Amino acid sequence: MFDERDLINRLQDETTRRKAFEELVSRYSSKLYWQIRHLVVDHDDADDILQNVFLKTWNSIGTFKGDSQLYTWLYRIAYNESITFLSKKKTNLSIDDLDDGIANRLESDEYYDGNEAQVLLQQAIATLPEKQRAVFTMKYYEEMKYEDMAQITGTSVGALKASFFHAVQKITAYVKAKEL
Amino acid sequence: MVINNDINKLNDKDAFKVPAGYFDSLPQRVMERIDSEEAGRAETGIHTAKTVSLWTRKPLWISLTSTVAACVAIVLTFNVITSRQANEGSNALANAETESVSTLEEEELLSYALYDGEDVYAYLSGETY
Repeated sequence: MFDERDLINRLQDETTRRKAFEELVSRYSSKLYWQIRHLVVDHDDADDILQNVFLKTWNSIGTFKGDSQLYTWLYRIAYNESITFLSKKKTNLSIDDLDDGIANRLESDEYYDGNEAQVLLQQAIATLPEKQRAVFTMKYYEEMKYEDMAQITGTSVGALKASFFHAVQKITAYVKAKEL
Repeated sequence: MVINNDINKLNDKDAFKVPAGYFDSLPQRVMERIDSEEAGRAETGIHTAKTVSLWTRKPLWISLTSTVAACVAIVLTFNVITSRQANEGSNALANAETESVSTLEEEELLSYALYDGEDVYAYLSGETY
């Protein structure tokens, strides 16, 4: 049975840190990757962000107090890195790129195998503000509990539920408008 | 997760693919990157140690005199500013309505929130969920 406390202790001991960190990467990389990937969509972007997450984790592992679970801490770093990435990317794109551009990119993306209708969903998601987009993807793809999302985002459960509700409304309206 | 038919029929969870062997090779790539960053930091550390400081120590009485003079200057400046503000206060209040709130574009402001103005309006107007 996996003992998170034991892993944290080994991470904070300089003599065992390296091996423990390799174990942390193996254990959490898949979940973190998919959280990031569903938000940023592109594999290469997700890979860059994930490596940055682990780099930041390595640099600050000594400051981890253990007052939250390790995976919550990791998810929080991944969430912040993803939001920062999306905000920077948004300032470099025109309004047309936000949804139409993503359709062109996905059609030529070797790591996205969706049909035209599924690309439409990604176009709709791309129109959401970054944090609302994160709420939607964490709920829809990761099926994360609101309580866990609240710890990761630092937002109340009520606000998260409202955000998800409105995200669903917007996506539905977008999809219906494009299908007409 | 079931949301509604319009979104569920577009379910693309299986459309996302990963390069073969990606997760198997990831721990090694991450450790190589960490080693590379730490080696870079170590080099920078060596360069910093050879830097000569521009600061020289001064006698204590000079430091104390400078500190007291700086404090007096700050207090005098503060008194001048507050007396000017008292006169300008009434003008500022009169002009408050015409000042713009922010130079940020609406889209930037909204991106800092979880949802946009349409959501806030809907929430305040009592839509249930």
